[in-house]
Amino acid sequence: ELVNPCGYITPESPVVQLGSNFTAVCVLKEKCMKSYHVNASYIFWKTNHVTVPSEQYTVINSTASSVTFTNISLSNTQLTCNIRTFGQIDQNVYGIRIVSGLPPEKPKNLSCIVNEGEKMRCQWDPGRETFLDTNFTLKSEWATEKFDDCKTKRGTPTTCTLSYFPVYFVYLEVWVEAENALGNVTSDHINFDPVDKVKPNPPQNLSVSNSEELSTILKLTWLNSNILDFLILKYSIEYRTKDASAWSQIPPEDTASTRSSFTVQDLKPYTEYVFRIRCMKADGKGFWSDWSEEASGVTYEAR
Amino acid sequence: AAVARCSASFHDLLGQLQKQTAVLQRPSLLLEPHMQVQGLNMENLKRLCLPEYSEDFPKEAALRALSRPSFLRTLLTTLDEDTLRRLKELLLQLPAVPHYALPSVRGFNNNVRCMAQLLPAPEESGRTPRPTPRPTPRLPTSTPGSFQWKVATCRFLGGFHHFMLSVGRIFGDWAQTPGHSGRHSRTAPPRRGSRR
Repeated sequence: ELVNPCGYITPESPVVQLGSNFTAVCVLKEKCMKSYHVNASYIFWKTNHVTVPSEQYTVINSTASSVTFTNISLSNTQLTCNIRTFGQIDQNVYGIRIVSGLPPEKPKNLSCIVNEGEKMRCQWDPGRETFLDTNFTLKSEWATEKFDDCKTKRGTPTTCTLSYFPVYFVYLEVWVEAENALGNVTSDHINFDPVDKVKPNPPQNLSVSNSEELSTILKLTWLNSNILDFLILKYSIEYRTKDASAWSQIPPEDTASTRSSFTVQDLKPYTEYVFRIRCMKADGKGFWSDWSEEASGVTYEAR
Repeated sequence: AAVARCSASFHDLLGQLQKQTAVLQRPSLLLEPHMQVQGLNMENLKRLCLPEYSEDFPKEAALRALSRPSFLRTLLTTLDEDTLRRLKELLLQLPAVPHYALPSVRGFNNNVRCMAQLLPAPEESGRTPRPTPRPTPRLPTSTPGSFQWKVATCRFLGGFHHFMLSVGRIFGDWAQTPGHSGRHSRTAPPRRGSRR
């Protein structure tokens, strides 16, 4: 009889909000009622094979009976409608699966980053657990152009990498839409120029050279990345003697604009120093690059 | 229609437009890769690509004669879908061109439209020179790969970069006189190379 069930339940595949009330109705088919000499009052309900107390039943008419659950906390429950035939045989009429959960909360703390040479990636706080399949869509637009939606993957619901390369010097409006079976909600919009979200590649080929004339200086040189086509950089340079663990920093004001070399002064003669450098947009918008490879050099002997 | 709004800051938009023109005026972006690929980077051939020969883009003097609203409208009519499509076709044959080239032109158009929204309504059309109509005729499309096509293309690309240079200079003048909605200041355009 599985193929031609004796009745059906509505709603068919409900998604119910946790804490709310839920009613299902089972409707018997005339043919079955005649075959088994039953009517709606013979119906009893089970959740996960456990009979539901009859106090929760309501016989609506001869063919239909309902069951009501209050303050539902069931999640992913099997609900079946059954009849007892001939006073002794329990016959399953129909079954549904109740899925319960919560509508999505408004995504918060939306932020984006452009790793140099890559497409922009944005992330956000998704809010509480919903217990349901919840889809997040990252939307992005210029004032005159809409871009493809960025749909998150099941395993990473809180981040999305846009499908196109960022265009600098154009304000982009970005927001997140969250949706599941119980509702949808939109994050606040953020509006920014992608050039202010750049994390540059670190300076390359850092090298250190000493000076025969001056035993207290070492000159650093490096290669800047192509991001220079778009923005002015500032640098953070740190150094320590070979055996030390703590880093000293060059005063930021001394490295506040684009350059590809720097002379470190007031060092101890005939001593090995280790250096590292990183960079970011000069106005402080965006992110520091990773540190460069370390490079070391030895100051010249004092005369 | 897009939900996003234009920036309401003349200063921000002008800053973006200047940076965009700084990027788009560089021959290293489009022209040089084309000349490299098409074998035109020999000294005697470079002369053929001089922007003066390009008919596709308005000259700086004509642009300077316009009111700001008309100037912005001329930028949009010049960089219309036709021009974008031609650029797109050319870029397909130039693998060395960075991925941001064409999107940057679209982004430039976006900012021009936004700037146009910020400017006061243009004076009566009688006193305001109409936007410079697209220079015609457009060069006939010669057979791709032919020498004529290579030269026509390099003039088009050279003309594009030069057009962006002129536009950048004009926006530079705007930066000197932010509130002025009439024609661009009459000061002579700064000498080449003194801008950066």
